[in-house]
Amino acid sequence: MTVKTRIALFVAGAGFIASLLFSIVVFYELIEQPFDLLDTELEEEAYRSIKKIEMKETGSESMTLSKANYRTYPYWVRIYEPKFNRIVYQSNLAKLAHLPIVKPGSSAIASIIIPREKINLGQDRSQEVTFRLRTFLIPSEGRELTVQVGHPMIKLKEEIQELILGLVVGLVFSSLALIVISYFIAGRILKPIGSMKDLSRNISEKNLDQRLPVGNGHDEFNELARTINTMLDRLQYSFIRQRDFLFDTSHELKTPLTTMRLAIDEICTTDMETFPSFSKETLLRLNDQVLRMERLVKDLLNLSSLEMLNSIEAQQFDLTGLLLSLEADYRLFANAQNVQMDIKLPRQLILQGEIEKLNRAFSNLFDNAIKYNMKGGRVEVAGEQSDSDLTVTIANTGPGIAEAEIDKVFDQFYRVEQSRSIQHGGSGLGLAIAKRIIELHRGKIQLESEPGVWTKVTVSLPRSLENVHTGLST
Amino acid sequence: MRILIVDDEQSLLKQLKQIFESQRYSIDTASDGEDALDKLFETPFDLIILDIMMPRMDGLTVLEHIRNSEIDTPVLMLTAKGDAKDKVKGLDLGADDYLAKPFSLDELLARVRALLRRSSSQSEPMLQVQDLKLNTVSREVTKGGRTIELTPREFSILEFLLYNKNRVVSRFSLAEHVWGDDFDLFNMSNFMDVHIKNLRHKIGDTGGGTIIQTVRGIGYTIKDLA
Repeated sequence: MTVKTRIALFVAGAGFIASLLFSIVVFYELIEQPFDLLDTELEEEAYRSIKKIEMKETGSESMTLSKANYRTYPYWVRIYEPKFNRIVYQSNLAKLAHLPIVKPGSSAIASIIIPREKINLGQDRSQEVTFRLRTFLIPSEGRELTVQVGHPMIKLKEEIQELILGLVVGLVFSSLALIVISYFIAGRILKPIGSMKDLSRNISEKNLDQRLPVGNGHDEFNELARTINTMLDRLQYSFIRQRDFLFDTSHELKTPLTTMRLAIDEICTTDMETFPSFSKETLLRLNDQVLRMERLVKDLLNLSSLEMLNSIEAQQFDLTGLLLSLEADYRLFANAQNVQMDIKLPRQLILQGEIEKLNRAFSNLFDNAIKYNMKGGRVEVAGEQSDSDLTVTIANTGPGIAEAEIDKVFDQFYRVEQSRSIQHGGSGLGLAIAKRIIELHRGKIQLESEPGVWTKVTVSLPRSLENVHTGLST
Repeated sequence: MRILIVDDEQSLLKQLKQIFESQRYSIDTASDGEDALDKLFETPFDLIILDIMMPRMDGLTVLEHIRNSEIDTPVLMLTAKGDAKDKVKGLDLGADDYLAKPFSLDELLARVRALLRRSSSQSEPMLQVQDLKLNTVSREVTKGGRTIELTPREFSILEFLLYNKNRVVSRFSLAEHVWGDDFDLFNMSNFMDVHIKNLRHKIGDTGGGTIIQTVRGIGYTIKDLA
């Protein structure tokens, strides 16, 4: 269950319990009122009945009032004289329905069964009628009379049912509303979590400068965002330091390398003839290693300065021209390796980019295609374009790369086979450099291979860099 | 010919001094900018080789002082930075050429010779061996008065070999000079051989290579006939 759902349910649950308690209180408050009313009515009826008896005994009026009552609100009235234990008066209902005797000064609720055919009090099919009973001790004309008054609570029962129904419906609706609102509120509260998640998912060494938005307040989320941002600051700082260190180190290596190279060159080109063959071989091997190291240092510098860049100085130019001139240079190299080169390009491939950098990138790709080839092999270069992109593929025969290794080929210092790489020279940074350059151009580079048969590199580049930032930085 | 070499790196300074002295140049060295200026104001030089990155006063500041004092000695800047901005700045301040570390001995000597030729009174921009002549300005090559058409790469190879006349030029420095940094030139020896073969054919140097000689395991050389 998501945190959002949990918060929503929790809030809704708490709200439900609160409104349930409130409803119970309301219910009892509301229930009390009609009881009070009824009790007052019963009391009035008791006194009225006494008055009626007094009038009857004085012979002034007949029993018309109780008849009128009978139709609508039949009261159950029984008056007796406790002294003589004699019933002074009872209403028609009291004659029909036998209700328990209630002690004077108290009240009770009693149910009895009254058949509907006998008296219709609006009772339901169970024929059970519930009465509210009260008994009063009222002095009248020098004697003490006990008046027990009752009234069926059919209407009251209906009212209670209505009240309960109303409360339940209200509770259901308010709970539903509560769930919806709390779900919405939970969403709002958790919104910063969402942006934190997105940032963490997308962040890599290439966009380490991204930060979370921080509000003004000092709440927990802002604090968390601030903490994450300072963590990213530290990461970025150490990342930059590491990169700068690599750059500086490579840079520092240049001067000693120059000295070494000059010294070896000097010996190789002057006194070499007089050396014994053992020294000659050693010297040439040394020379090879110095040259390799030089290449490595140059490529490292190149790559780390590319890493420092986040934009390019683009201009409009024709990639076909660039590729053809590269091919002219590499054709001789390829021929020397007994590799055939075929190039099929549209007349023009116009794009926005930095010539020098793309030259370097494709140069590295051509270089690989020829070096990691086989005797009598082929290199095929092809290009095509759409409205927005252009694609160049460089395919070559050769040992290829196992599928599991393909993701690694663009890594720094990755080489398919250590033994082969020594024979071929390469710094192991060629593809990493090419990839970085293509990325700076907002393009994509992919490699496919069938081991033992062929390898194909596909480069796709957007034709226009307008309105797009490279999205790469640090 | 007197050359002042300015670099804060002692080992490189000694190496350069040794190399140039073996080529019969007269060498003075300075290990920082102030030292360099002192020497420059005392003695006239034919060429200054100046490192950019130096403590206290860097190469660019030295260059500025030199040019402000109207000393027009040619200056070859050396830098460890492969940064195009430094190059532009150096050339703007009046440097005559620019070399990024690390560089080959052949490249350095060729540049130095080109600079010295340009500045000396010898106005004819000609490089020559036997009856083969190469004009470095008009980029024309003739043999016995007959014009030879060369590709830019072939011209560049011949020019480099001629600048290094009587020295052995390694295959690698030659390739590096002609193709520059973008190529991973390691282990490309047979590639160079093809170019040399074509060049020999064009300049009528067939049959054993009497003009461009191969030095086995190292590279090539053009020698004046003894």
